Parts: sequence; structure tokens; C-alpha cells
Amino acid sequence: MTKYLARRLLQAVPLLLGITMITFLVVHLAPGGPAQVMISPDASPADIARIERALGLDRPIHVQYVMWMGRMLRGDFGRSFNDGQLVTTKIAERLPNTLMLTLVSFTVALALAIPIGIVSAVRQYSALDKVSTVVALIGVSLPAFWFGLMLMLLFSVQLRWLPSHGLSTYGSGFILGDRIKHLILPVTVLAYGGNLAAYMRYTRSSMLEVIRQDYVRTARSKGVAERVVIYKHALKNALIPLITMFGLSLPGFFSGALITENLFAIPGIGRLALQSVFTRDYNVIMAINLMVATLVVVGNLLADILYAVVDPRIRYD
Amino acid sequence: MRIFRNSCVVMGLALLVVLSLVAGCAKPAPTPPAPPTPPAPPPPTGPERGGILLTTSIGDASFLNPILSADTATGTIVGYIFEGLVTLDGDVNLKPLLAKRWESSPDELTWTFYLRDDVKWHDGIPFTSKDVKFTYESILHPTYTGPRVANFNMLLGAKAYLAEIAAINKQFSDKAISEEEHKAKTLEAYQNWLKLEAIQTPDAHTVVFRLAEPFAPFLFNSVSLGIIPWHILKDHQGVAMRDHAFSRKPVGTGPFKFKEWKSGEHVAVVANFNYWGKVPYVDELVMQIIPDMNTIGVALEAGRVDHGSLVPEEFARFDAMKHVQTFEFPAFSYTYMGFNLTNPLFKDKLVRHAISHAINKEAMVNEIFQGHAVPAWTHGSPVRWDYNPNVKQFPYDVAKAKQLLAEAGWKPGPDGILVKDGKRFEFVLQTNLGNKQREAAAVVIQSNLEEVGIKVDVQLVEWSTFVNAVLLGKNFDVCIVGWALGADPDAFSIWHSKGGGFNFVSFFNERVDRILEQGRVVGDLNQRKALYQEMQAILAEEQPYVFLFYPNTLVGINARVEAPFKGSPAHSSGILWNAEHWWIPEKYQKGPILTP
Repeated sequence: MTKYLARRLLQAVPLLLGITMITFLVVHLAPGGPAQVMISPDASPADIARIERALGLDRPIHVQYVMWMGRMLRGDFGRSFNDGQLVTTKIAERLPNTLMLTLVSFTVALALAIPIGIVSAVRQYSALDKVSTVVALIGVSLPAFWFGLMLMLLFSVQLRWLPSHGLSTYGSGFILGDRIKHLILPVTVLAYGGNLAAYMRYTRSSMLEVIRQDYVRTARSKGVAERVVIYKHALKNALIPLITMFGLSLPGFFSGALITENLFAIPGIGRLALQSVFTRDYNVIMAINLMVATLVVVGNLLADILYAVVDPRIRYD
Repeated sequence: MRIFRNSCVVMGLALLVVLSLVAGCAKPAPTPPAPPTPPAPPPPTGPERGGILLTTSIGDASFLNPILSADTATGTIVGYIFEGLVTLDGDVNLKPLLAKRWESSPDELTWTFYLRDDVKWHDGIPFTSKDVKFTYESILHPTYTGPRVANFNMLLGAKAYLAEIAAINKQFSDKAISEEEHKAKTLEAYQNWLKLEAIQTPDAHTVVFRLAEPFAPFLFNSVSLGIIPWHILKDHQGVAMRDHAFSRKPVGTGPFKFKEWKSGEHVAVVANFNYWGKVPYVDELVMQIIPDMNTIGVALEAGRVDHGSLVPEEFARFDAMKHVQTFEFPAFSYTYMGFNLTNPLFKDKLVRHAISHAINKEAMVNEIFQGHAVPAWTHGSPVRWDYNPNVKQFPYDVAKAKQLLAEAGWKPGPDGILVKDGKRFEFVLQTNLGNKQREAAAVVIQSNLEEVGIKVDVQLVEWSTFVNAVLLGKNFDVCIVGWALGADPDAFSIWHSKGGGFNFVSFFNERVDRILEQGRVVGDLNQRKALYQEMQAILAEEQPYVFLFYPNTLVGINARVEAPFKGSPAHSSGILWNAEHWWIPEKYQKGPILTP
């Protein structure tokens, strides 16, 4: 196991290196740059050249890459070209917002998806199975910006129960009730429009497969109560595919939910990432990209390890 | 002037410094039945102090330092915290601010400003001429990273010094000198320029600027720039100023003091009770950052914010609401369709005239903007003092367009598309992706031109690529873009055939070149007005652009706010320019926000 882990981690190094190289190249080759973003009709090419010199952007791309790599290995991700803030500060400010949003909505989605999935599997083709399938499909099909806007119009404008945007009421400081009120709408959009349907359907199909297995039949035939059969014997095995899903979802928790963050004016990583691409904020793009790439690698590894933990038949040697 | 764009789909683009984001989506928003609205508040008795004013912005601020930033979101906040020597009033006239008065020598090469002696920085240190000298000299520092150099390169010796810096930079990129030598040489050049004393401070409250050449926009564009404190930043010029914490915790002299900035969330300023002028009525002003125009509308309707920009489709609905006051005023920006004049298709003036006649501007104003826009006929703004209302106009006239095209030698081919010398009349029309109004205008133009036998392909391009690869690279046939104009009519960079870095369309007219040169030098306003009016007439006749429309600025403000506007505030910094005069009646001040 240790050997396997070491090998996987070593394999990740060239992979991440390659990803940074390609990203660096692509973002620098895109037309425009941080100096041009400051473009004003009065600026001359000489002005742009001077700013690029001051920021070190006039060097050849490979030199800039090596310098970036050198600083990065020392933990220095540089400053944002947009506002001079340290990239690490910028990400640290926004990551908690994104994590709060994604983790809460993920938890809500799972808490609903697994029980509904189990019931739909156990009572396959029942009315409840059909209704939950339809409801789930509607959720996946709703565009987040439209669904979110409808919720806002209903709960913020018509009923005035919930705030329309942001994470807190200005000037109130942190109050748990206020925070929950602000989270209800975005979490609903993210949970219902994203994870809920997917996890429900996965639970259902995985459960359906498991309850047809021999060991479930054995358990039933020796007279074990149906409840115990489902929740003890079947469920544990049915959850294995969900672990893969979880591992694959991990990067998404950090990269944020762009449309939802944008619509509800929540300052998260997704908004930051898109904004940095549009403004050619190289340092921010590189840092977020590296973070998400690392999480993809870690997420996959984690899923593989959890497999072995959950299913004793799986071994890595 | 600024390159001007509208966008709603793409957030954060407001950070594209200098690009003013004004209006947004043309998405048809759902119209639910109006919520129950209690009666509007009774008429006010007089200004009352207190309350928190909640404004909105589509983009976040960048550097809260007037010399480092030029975007709209930052400009609004910087305008509350910092002050220039002069400012503009609601009618875009000059007004003294940190300078009590000023005078220029007859040759307009020496400008003397007499500063107020009762001004203190927010940290209590007195404001003096040293701050003024420091601010404007910092803009010429060799590693200065802001966009303001063009407003100060007419200072004595500045152009020669900037050329020297460019030469040293070239030596470095040719590897003739090392990094250290480069740094030493540029700093030495800077020190030598400082020794020329282009900016002198005879005493603590007098500043003298010495120019190398007369520069008419000096008052409007140069000394209106906010002053930054020498005592905090003196050891941090150039890149060090960019990295300094000051830009996130600024100290100025203005009516509002900085309170806090939460990235992507809000920027808050509080009333400066030690202000030398009129102290703001509200205790606090918070600019909330909401990147989606639809959300701004919802927040305004729900009574969660006091101010928000409106999209044209929503204006009538908000206008009918009792708890929202609506404002519509002409903006300082126009949208145009520019011809690449190096393309043989557009070299013939008759063809450009024909295309102008073929395009239905009225239909665009009515259908894209629901009437909340004004057709444009030339460069400039109808609400700026230099505007010429009597230029040649090209009204929508399909028959005239066809006739002009026939005169130019274009004959309909077998499929109805015009042909001349075996070449079909077809081209690509490009504009920036995400700007619904420009996208809609492109479609109208496409169908208008199809009627006269011209085939148009529409291409939408991401903004940064559009500006750098398409416009600056001059890789286009025809483009739809816009200009946000400033208070000064100087348009050298847009129309001059040589100095015009933003003359994307490669326009060349001998007389316009001369006018632009003289317009920068002539000090007399009436003479300048005559010059620029002549230029506008030439541009209307030449039609290097089809000037399309001026989208009006549409704003909604919560009924609790008393905002003292007179008529239409035509101010390039938008409706919030005089927020220090806004007030909220005491009974509506409770809680952060109120729905009357």
C-alpha cells in the first residue's frame, strides 16, 4: 500500500508540471495581457512596453515560466495584476465562501439523495420511484441562472422572506441566522440543480444491482429482517461507486460554482477564476489552475484508497 | 475617453481597467405582478444626517489609488476619498477643489495653482504643495504601472525623459545591459528629470507647473486627478506603490474616509467629519459588488439596496414602482460601426454613405433600447459643450442607399448580392461577445444590409481578444464598438492619422489631423469649440463610422433616498458623483435598508 501510494504520488509530479506548462503557455499566448487591460485611448505602445518592463512581462515566455516556477516552489504565487493583492491572500479570502457553499449544498444533496435513491431502488417502478425520477430530471435540466432568478423573484421580491444576494446583511457582522438565510437560495440552486439528481440516480442504480446479488439473497433466505438486509448488507456495498463520485467531486468543492456565485453575488473561487481569465491576470489563473489540478489528482487517489477501505476485496500491492 | 463596453453575462470585466460597464443584459426578464407597495414617503422637510446608503456596482474596485486606476467602479470610490486640484460640476464645468484658484501665463506654458490651506489628510496631517508635486511626479516614475502618463507627458522635459527610458528599456531587451544597470540607469534618468523642476513648490500652498508645450486639456484631464499623500507613499514610487497596502487602505482628503473593502463583496466609506467642505449627510456609503444585472434589479426591487443600474427592458416596470425612483439621462458614450478603411470595399465614400442610409438607427433605438437611447450622427456627445447639432445626417432610406451603391458601380448579381468587377459585396462584422445590445445591433445591421444586397457575417469575439487581436491588430472588416468620452473633447488618439493609437479604422484626413493638433494647444474655449465642431462636421461627411446611438444611462434609486439632481445630471462618473449631497430622512434610517 505504501509503495503504491508513493508510486501514485511520484506519477503526479510530472503530470502537474505538464499541466502548469500548458496552462502557462496558453494563458500567455491568448491575445492581450495585464498591461493591455489597463488600455486607455491615451496610452501609447511605449506606455504598454514600459508597464510590461516594470512588471517583468517583457521577458521570453520560457524565462517567465522558470521564474514563476522558482517563486511558486518557495510558496510565492506573486500578486494579482488587477489589484496588487497577494494571490495567496486573494484565494484564501474566497475559498471559505466557496467551500461553505459547495459543502453545505453537497451535504444537503446527499442527505436527500441517498434515502430517496434507496427507496426508489427497493420499490422500483413504484409511484414514488417515478415521481422522484421526474423531479430529479427536472432539477438537472433547469438552467441555474434561470432557476436562481425565479427563486429570487419568489422569495426575495414577492414574499420578502429571504435576501436576494450576498452572504450577510451589511453591518450586522456574523450572525448564524442571517448567514443561513443568505445561503438558502444558492444552496437550493446548487443542490437541486447539481448533485441531488446525480447522487440519487447513482444510489438507485447501484442499489438495484446489489440487491440482486447472491449474498443478499442468502441473507434474505436465512430469515434476516428486510430492514437489516437493505441497510446493513446491501447499502454498504452499494455505496462503493458513490465513493468514486465523491473523489471526482472533490476538485469541484474548491473550484466553486461559477453561475451560482455570480448570480447571488457571492465572492467565491469560481467568480475569481473567470474574472482572472478575462482580465489576463496570469498569476491568479496559474494559482487556481494548479490548486484544482492538484485536487483532481488527490481526489482520484483518495477514491482509490477509500475503495480498499470499504471493500476488503480490493488491494493495492 | 475610454473604450466603452456594455456587458452583463461576463462578470468582473469591469476590472478591465478603463472600460466602463454601464448597462447590461437584454434578456427578457420575467415580469411578476408588482409586489404590494405601501405609499411613498411624504415630501421631505430638509436634509437630515445619518443612515447607510447602499449602492451597487457590477465590477469590483482595483487599486484605490487615483494614479493607478481608471475603471468606473474604482473611480466612484476614489472620487469620494481623494480630491484633485479642480473638479467638474453636474454640468461638466470646471470648479475649484483643492486649488482655490489658478492662473496661466499668456503663452499657457506656466500654470500656477493656489491651494487651500485648511485641508487635512484623513490621518490628520496637513495637505500641502509637496503632496501635489509628489503625486504628479510619481506618474513619470520609470516603473510606474498606471494609465495616466499621457496626461502629464507635456510637462517640461517629460517627453525627452520618456524617450530616454524607452531607449534604456530597449538596451535591456537587447541584452546590452544587465538588470542592475537597467535599474540604475532609469532611476538616474528620473532623478535628472526631477532636477528640471517641471513642478515647483514656491511655498506650502502654491504649485507651479511648467509645460514644454501648451496643452488645452490640462485642467480637465491632468490636474483633476486625485492627490495622494507624500507622507505615506514617499518611499514607494513605481512598482512599490502598486504593491503597497495603501491601495487597499487609502488615505485621502475627500468628504468620505475609507472604512473597509471585502473583495468581491463591498467597499465601504464613512463620512469625514473633519472635512474642509460640506460634510456628507449619510454616515456611511457602501458599494455592493453584484456582478449580474438581473440580481441588481431584484435587489433594488426587493428593497435590499438603494441604487442600481437598470436594463432598458425593465425601466418601465421600475418606473411604475412606488418604492423606486427612476432616472434617465444621456450618457457620455456612443456605439458605432467602424469600417476598416484599408479594406477596398470601404474606400469609396459613396459606399459608406449608402451603408449609412441602409441602416435603421431608429429601429435599433426602439427595439433594442425600448426608446432609451438617442441616434448618433457624429463623434461627440449632445450633452457636451463642443457638440455640433448641424452635421450632415444619413436617415434610413433604402432607395437612396441602392441608388448610391449603383452610382458606385455595384450591380445586383444572380443571387441578389451586389457585384462589382467580379467581386461580391460581403464582409464580416465583429463585436464583443456578451454585450446583448451590440449583438442585437449586429443582427439588425445584417438584415438591413441584406435588403440592399450586401451579405454580412456576424462574429462575436471575447472582449480581450476583440480589443487586442481584432481592433488594435486591425484584423477586421467592420466592427461594432463604443467610446465613453471624457469631459474634454480632445480626440487625438481616436482620429489622428499618426498619433492615434486607437484609430483602429485607419482614418486619415489632413484637416482633422490639423484640428486635433490645434485643439490641444488653443486655450480659448470658444476657439476650441469651433475647431471640434468643424471636425464633427467632417467626420459626419466622411462616415468612417456609421455612428449608431447613445444608450441612455438608466438608474433606479430607493424612494427613501433624497438625491438632489437638477434635471439630467450629465456627468461622466455617473449618477453617484455627488453622493455626499444625498440624504435619507431620519425615520427611514433604521436598519441597513428600508423598503418604504
